[in-house]
Amino acid sequence: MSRAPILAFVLAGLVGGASGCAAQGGEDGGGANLPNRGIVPWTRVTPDEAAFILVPPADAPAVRWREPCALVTDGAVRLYLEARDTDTGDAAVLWAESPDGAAFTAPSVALDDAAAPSVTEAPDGTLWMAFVSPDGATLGLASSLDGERFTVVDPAVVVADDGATVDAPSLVHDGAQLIVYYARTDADGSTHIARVRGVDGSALPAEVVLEAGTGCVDPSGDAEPCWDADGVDSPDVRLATTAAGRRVFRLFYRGARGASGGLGFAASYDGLSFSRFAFNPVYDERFDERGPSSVRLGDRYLLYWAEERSATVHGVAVAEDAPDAPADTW
Amino acid sequence: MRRRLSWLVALVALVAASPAARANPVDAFGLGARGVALGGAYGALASDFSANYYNPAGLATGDDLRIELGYVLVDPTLELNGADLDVDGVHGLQVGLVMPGRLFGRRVALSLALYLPDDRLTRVRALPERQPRFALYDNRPQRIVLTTSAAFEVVPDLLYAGVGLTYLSDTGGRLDIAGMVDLEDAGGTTLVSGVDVTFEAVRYLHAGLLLTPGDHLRVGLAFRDAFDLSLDIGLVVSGDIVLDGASPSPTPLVEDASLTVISVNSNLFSPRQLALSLAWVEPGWALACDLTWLQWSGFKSPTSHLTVALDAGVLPLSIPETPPPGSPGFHDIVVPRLGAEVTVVDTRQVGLALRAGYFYEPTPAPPQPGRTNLVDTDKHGLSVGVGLRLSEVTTLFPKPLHLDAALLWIALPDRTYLKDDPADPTGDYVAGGSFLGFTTTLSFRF
Repeated sequence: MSRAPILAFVLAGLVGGASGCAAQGGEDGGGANLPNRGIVPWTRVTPDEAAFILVPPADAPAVRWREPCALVTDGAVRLYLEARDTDTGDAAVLWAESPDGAAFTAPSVALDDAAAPSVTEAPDGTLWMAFVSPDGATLGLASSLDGERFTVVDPAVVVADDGATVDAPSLVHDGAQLIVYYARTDADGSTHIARVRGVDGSALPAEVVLEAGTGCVDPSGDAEPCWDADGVDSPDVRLATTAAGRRVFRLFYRGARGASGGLGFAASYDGLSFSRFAFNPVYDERFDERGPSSVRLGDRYLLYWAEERSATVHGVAVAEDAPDAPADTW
Repeated sequence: MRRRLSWLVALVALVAASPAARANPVDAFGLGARGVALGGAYGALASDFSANYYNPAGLATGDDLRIELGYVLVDPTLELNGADLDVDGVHGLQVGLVMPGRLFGRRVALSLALYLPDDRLTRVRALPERQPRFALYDNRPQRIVLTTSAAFEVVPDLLYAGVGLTYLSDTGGRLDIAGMVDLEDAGGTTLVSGVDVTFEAVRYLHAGLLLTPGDHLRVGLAFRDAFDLSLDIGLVVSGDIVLDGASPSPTPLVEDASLTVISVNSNLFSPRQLALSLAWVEPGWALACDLTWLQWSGFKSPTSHLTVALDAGVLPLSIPETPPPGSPGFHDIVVPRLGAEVTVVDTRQVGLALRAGYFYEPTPAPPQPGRTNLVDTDKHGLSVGVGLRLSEVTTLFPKPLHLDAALLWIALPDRTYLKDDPADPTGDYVAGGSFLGFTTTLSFRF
């Protein structure tokens, strides 16, 4: 009878216990309702044992649904996502809705000839969408009054140059300022997360907010090799308020390790200087999770992402954080 | 008198032999209903069993043998971000005995006070460093409290002194596992285990002086020493690492390998205290105030320091060191207390006194911008109480029965904690809450 090496198992358990865990909680005697920021831990939601909550039609084997973007409106989750035909490279933005964040309506087209949507609601109720062209050459803006069909306002807010491509925009309203975070892949294949800002109709120069392989610290605060040393992309930024009423920019992103990747978290008080979560990755099942998007629905935090395990097993998944005492709001 | 002393010595010896702990619920909420009703401003007035805590010198001012029984109930509502953390309350019996006498013409007294929680007798634990906890109330209330004191009259009707000891227990333990570990097959592993837990006695001192110049003024000075109880637990695994452990002739890989994991933390801390007390006593009323210095700067981190040592011979295994937890950076505080008592009924059969008190306890805890979350806020304590004297109720008790009761409300105003790291797992939070308590004491005098 062959079993796992006992000593290695014991050591792994002890080291794991020694290094601690980012998740909080405990028994009685002061351990109830501890603050939960919706960073970790995540439990995958698998209705009817299904790995995904949204999958492309079976009669379209070349289509992939990815880069989901969740928006809570009227107490329900509206999910925008990219539908791409991997044979032709064509892409469109779809939307679907769910009252519980897991069971969605059948997706409908929100914008043609666009990919990697990010949608946010302006104070006046207008819905704004940032998207990229299917070839990744430009990043544009569209708007909608009902959130179901969008009209392009500016097709090229950002134009990739020098052989680079742009992808996965994340749109943030900050008062009178509109901020678009996005992933940029340079001609040499390196990736980073940048942002552009528009104030009163004028665009400010692009700024790098997160680079691969730098600025990683361990739980003790000491520098350590980055878990995402091979690339950072797919930003999802939310301007939130802490439990003490302070503004904080929350960033979920994909970190690459070799050919695969997982989901990480970083945050910033100014929207420019981001600090990585010391216990990254926050979700990694070794299936190359991509395109994270997190919302708070009532007392629950939800995290959506896309996953492609094989040519036939792929789709959009969701996980939920423990509903104890949610702290950050947005 | 000799008979009384022999009873007391026997009782003290009996209780002191058991694992006892320091007056932490008493530090937090007071002892005895009269002292609580006066806001804890009781160091110059106490002559009952609660003088064991407030000022043992007062024990020598009385002439009656006292047996006192009481109950205390304190319900906390301690919140982070408006959500109740479900911190344990305090509820238990209070028992006291005061035995006065005379020695060489001077008053003397022996006494003890016991708080016996009726839920958890004690709690030892080491929470993760990052987990928020109300550091002063996390596990302090779950304690047996025993104080024993002796007091004597130094200068007749002028100066009294008292001294006492409290017995506590450090907790230490080891789980020893020895045998043979098969690296590949659990079925070939043979281990035996043993547990060794010890409770080592720790003693600390409390003492007091009481000056009574004239009929009205009383001045007290009390000292309570600090203590720091540790929790030291460990796991020791030793033996050989082999292959084919199930066979008659295992193949040894490493002989006498060992893994030692030791966790040490400060399990319970109470600061050194010095209390100055003043009281002015008139026939129908009394005013009292206390000023207590608490040396919280000596507080050590309650977080466990884990030490792991691995000797795996030729196997390429290593375990990184974990740094010891840093100093929590608490600072000393001074707590002012005020109390007043008015006698509103005073007949031969019945007496009734009304009491009120207030205290302000600034928090000794610093901001928590980093990894730790040792939560505490300032405290405002308000109390009211009554004291009922009943005389000639029954021939069973030749002296009056005294029944005291007090209501206590402690408010912890909201305190905001901000984190330097925007990606901190806990993030910013707001802490606050309150305590609501009731205590009563029935005093039999002989």
